[in-house]
Amino acid sequence: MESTGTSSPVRRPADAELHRRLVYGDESALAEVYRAYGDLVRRVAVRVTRTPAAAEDVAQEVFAQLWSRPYAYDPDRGGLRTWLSMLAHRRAVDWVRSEARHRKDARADDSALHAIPDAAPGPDQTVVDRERSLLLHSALAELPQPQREVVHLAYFAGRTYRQAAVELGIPEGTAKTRLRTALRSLAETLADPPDPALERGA
Amino acid sequence: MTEHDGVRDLLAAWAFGALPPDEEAAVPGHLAVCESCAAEAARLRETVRLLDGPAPNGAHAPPAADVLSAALRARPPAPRVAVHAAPYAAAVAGLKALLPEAEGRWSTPVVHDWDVHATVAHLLAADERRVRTLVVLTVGRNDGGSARGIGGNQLNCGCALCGQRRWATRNDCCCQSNSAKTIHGSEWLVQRWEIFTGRKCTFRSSVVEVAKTNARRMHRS
Repeated sequence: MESTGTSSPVRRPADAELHRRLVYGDESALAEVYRAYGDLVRRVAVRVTRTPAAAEDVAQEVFAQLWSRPYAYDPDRGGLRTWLSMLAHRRAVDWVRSEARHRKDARADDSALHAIPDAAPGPDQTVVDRERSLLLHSALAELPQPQREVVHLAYFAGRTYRQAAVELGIPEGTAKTRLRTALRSLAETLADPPDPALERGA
Repeated sequence: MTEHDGVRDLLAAWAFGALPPDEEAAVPGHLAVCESCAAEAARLRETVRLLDGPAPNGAHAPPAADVLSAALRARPPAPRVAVHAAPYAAAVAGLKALLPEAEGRWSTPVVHDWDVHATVAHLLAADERRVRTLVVLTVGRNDGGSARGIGGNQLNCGCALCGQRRWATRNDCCCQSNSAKTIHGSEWLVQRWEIFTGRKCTFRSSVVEVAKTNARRMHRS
């Protein structure tokens, strides 16, 4: 059975309690969240940035934001796992974009750098794959939130679509459909990439 | 539903590796005999492969402690306080966290069952010196801004933030005050509020109740 697409509210007593302690400034709550979701946040960030050091910066930003602005997360509107995963993804995509801009500026400023190859030059295919990967992750970050939530649980957090449905409080059929809609629109992004000049904000 | 339709619906979950084993087992057999599903499967799996991207490069990550210490620098943790003071300290910390996001969220629960409004009411019950400014602030918020300008004061967020700093420093004093004084203070507050605004206080019971609850907690410990 397909639902109307709106998530039914799911009570998340554990997340609500953690959130309450974060709001109170309880340091041990931050450590708990980090133990539970630190690996996931890094996994998401490294997949997008391809750089463990950058992923570490992203993780730092994500947990600092949760801690210093706890009300940005609302336990009535979603699970902490998906929220952190989506925040890490967004920050990682931003990091890669700004990195690409810096690299471009540096090249423009100093033509000598043209001669210096990347630190780890790969075969051409690797370069192409990296660009397409970023293209896909940018598109993923722009998907409607209901689709993104299921993708994050299924793809980054390793849940089956059934487990994702339970965690989100939606019917299994809806989770399946959202995965399908999401992955198809990502596949179409590859077939018909956005204007690169617009992408770069030129 | 035919096998074709059933498998077709599963292909995205399959490409993400998000099928439970029993359903996963049904896919390859159908792909072997259905060209259109095989093409769709290849297209979706290729998309996931590109999402995976090439292997990361660079050294391993530094130790985990960095992440938490950076967060704690951005916002200091709540100080360890005596048991009897914990509810008050929690209210202060919660309110501090909320104030940057407060616009339009004055009914957000802050501590126990108090929303922002009740917490502010409680905090000003405990701080006689700030009562004038804060009552104006609270009333303004409570009435959706209609009290703007009472007593010549303008209401704005700056007011809330400046009051907030004082509530935090009030923490210690309040915890030492005795319960009778807290309840008395809250009733005094309500009276002053009524004189000040020329109106009947509609949240009297909430202010007094909050003060009593807090007093019971202090008394127990």
